[in-house]
Amino acid sequence: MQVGPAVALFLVFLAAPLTVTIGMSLFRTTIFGVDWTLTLANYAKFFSEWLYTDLLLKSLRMAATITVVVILISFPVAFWLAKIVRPGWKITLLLLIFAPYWVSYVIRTYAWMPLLGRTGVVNYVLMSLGIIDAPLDVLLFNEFSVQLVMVYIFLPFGMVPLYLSMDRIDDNLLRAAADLGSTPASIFRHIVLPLSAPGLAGGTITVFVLAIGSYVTPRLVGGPSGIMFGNLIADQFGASFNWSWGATLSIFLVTATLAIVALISSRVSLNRIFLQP
Amino acid sequence: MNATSASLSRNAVGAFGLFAVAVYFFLYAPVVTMVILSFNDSIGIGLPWGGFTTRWYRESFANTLAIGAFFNSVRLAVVVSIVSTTLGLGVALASRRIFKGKALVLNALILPLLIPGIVLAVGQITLFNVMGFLPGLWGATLLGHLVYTVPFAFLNIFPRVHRFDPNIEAAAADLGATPWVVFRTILLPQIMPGLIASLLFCFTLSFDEFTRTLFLIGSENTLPVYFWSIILTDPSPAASAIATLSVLFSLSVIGGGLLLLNLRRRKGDSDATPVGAH
Repeated sequence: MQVGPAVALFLVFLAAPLTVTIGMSLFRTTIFGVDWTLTLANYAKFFSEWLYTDLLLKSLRMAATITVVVILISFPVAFWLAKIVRPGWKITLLLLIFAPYWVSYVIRTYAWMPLLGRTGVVNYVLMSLGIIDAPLDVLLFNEFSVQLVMVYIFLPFGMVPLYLSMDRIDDNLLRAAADLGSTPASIFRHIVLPLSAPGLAGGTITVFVLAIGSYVTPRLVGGPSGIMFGNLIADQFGASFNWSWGATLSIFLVTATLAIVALISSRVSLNRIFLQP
Repeated sequence: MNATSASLSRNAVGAFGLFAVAVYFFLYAPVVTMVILSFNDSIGIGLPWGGFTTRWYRESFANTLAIGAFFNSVRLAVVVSIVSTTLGLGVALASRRIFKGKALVLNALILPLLIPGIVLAVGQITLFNVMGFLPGLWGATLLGHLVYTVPFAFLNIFPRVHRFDPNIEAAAADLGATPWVVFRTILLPQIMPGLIASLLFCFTLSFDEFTRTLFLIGSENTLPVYFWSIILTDPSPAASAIATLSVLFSLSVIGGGLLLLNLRRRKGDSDATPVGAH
């Protein structure tokens, strides 16, 4: 009885949509609407043109890059916050990392447009310093700007779980290792890294899933060259109105995403990542 | 100072600190710049600086579309946070015992965290379409938000419930307390911080949600959907002003909530210690 409502909700609005998506991918959309004869034509189409696999691979590569950069930045900051900062400062600094969580990612993406645009702050400052003569166009509307902005947006999702894991590491372990002559590198390798595994895996999965399914950031700051797979899916439900093709693309995105998640969770179990009390 | 300072040189500690300061700067510079530029008396969203004005804020407060979208967002977020916290609490309470299909339920709860939001959104709108329902705020959007927020509600409440010693409840029941009295007087005060955290979390998740909403809402508006339409068609400092107000609102809700949690902790110092102690 306690789980009933939640189970009903998830059956109706999680299981059913995924089932409908699979079903939909087995039909074709024509200009007259959906043609209800079973076919694998959508799947054949996906593999017949390099365009689609290329875009999926490019999106996977971008999401992987974003995830790696986020984790590389998060690790030292989380360690600093958990183990170096004076206790008096800790709460404030922690809140400052949490705060961006409460700001919409649409707004946090938008915040970069006045910075990077042709008349943006960066171009303005560089021009008034005489470093450049004409505004740089490379700052916005390409793959670089998409990755930069997504690193910015997803940074808290990497830092917070890593911090929570590292905060649980017993200080005495680190002291004992140091007393016994371990170098900082070996303390990191043998104590900090293994004990922060749940946070590392949690941060990696969260950032990767968010990045690979992005729609907002590529649409706003990506331009034609920064477009990602999520935008291609969204287009099928907007202007193109090709729902069965969109459903097929969704299935490829989910499969690729869950494959990567499975790879990570084979090292650290999902229960340990999400349900650690 | 602190534990690791012993094993790290002064230079290393300094390097960590410098790096962290740079990251904090990176985290805050864009939003702070946006806030400053929302006072810019110019029609462009960037520089040059045309002087200080509150014009964009006055325009925003007079913008009935924006105000309507804001109240839609708030009403939706209130309902979403209450419903998802209730559902999350149910699953968290049930998860203390073994029941048939428990593993399946817990896995299903984690699944929305592992599937890209856009995939679920287009799947949900396809389902609605196949079933002949129209998209909208209180149907499709509400359900879509709930699937997204219930897992977070559960993850906020579960650790609290899990840490609580069931023997205390058993003792109370033995002494003749009804299940409702046991829940209200023993369990509820202990898990209250988790419930408040869940309410806050789900409120802001729903208030700020965009991609799912965009597909599910049809012709209605929430604040993020309205904001999206103006930055795509007509970005001006007015957009920065609306964004700034939205950020202020989110942060004050969270700030108020944290204050409330803090007050509770001070007031009931003794009741917070036994469960939080590891």
